[in-house]
Amino acid sequence: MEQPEECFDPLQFAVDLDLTKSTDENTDEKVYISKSLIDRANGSSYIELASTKVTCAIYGPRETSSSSDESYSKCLLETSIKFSPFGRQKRIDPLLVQYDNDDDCEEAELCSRLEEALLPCILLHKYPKSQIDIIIDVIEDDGQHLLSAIILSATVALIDACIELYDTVVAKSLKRDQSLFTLCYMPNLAQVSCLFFDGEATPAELDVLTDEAVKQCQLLHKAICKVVISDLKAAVTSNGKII
Amino acid sequence: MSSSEYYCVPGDRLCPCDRAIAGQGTYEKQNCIYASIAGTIQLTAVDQSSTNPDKKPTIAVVRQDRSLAVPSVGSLAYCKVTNVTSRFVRCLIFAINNQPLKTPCHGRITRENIESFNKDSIVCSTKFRPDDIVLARIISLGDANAYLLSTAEENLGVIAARSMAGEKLIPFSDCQMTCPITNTPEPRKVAKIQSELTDEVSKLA
Repeated sequence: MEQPEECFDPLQFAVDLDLTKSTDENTDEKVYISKSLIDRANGSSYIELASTKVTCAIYGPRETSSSSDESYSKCLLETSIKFSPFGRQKRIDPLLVQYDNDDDCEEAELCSRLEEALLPCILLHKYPKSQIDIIIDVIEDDGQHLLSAIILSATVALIDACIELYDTVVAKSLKRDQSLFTLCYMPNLAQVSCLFFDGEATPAELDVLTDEAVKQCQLLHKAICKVVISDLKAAVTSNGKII
Repeated sequence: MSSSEYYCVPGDRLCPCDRAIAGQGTYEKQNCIYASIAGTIQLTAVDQSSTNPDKKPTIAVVRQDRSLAVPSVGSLAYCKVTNVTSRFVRCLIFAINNQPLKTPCHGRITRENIESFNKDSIVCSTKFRPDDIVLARIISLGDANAYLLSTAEENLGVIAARSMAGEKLIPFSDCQMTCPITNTPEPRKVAKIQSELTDEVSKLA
């Protein structure tokens, strides 16, 4: 084998990576929300929460292939989550088949959590004999905000697709010494859609976490409203329609 | 009908139930009307001669730039015929009420629902042919495979078709279309064009 014409020392391309994260994760978390990226989908969104980046595409309500009795009266929800191979510190093999009884089936677990969080908020009875497909692509995962970014991106994409919702579901993840707490909150109805907790805590600590998560959810809700309404205004003025 | 500059997101409380009736894009819960989609709020002024005893205005949320096309009972469906058999006609619905669907749905017109008279003596192949564009009405959700459609009205039926020679057919009467090049008549269940549009259609022909 011939050697290439020019050779470089690999160390000259090494970037100084500061892998020690600050323990104070709750300050300076930036949020970026964008919608209507994918033309072919009914609705789509892209969310950045700190360094977690997630994109979501919604197809539907479209004809369902299921012939069960349940599908006749209301809409079915199908979710699918896929990680990019470069999404985490350690490379994820995209061709690795994960079996259902495997402990490591993270994609399936995230799918079921997403369904649990979204099912109470969609008006399913308005779309009989149809199914809504939610396809989520995780571009980068920083370990803390994944579930909340997934739920937020699904909500923004549902709003973009004009699917009728009872309320906007806002999710916030908090990390306290190795335990991860995620709360899905509906601000206008003041109801918790669901709550996920991995780790150990006393009930008093859980109360404190819930209160703080609710406050931060309300801030996130304001960010979503601002993005949605400014997009609506821009769409109306670009179409030239006078209200 | 007056629309306002007020924008809302799903879940915003619009008004109590006794002030207005919930229209499109809203839902009622615990005696209040909430928005269910993101858009502008529209209040329909109350009709003096309406049969509504309470005479309340209708509040609705409308999205200006796009809307969702959902097949529902009673809506008009534009479809393309795929199969014609002796008992029914299968078609692919690609638009509902002037809005295109992103993914087409399957529909079926049974033999009894093609015409409103002579229901039993109809031969399906004299009414529709494959690749015809048909305007039909959804009468039922049907089964898992297809929606049930009907063309049993005057203004429903074939609106565009190609002849055996490959040319665009011109409507001649309610049961016949002619090919402009070969002048051969072909039997179809033709949709009656509304009077406002006859001038435009005659300019095209």
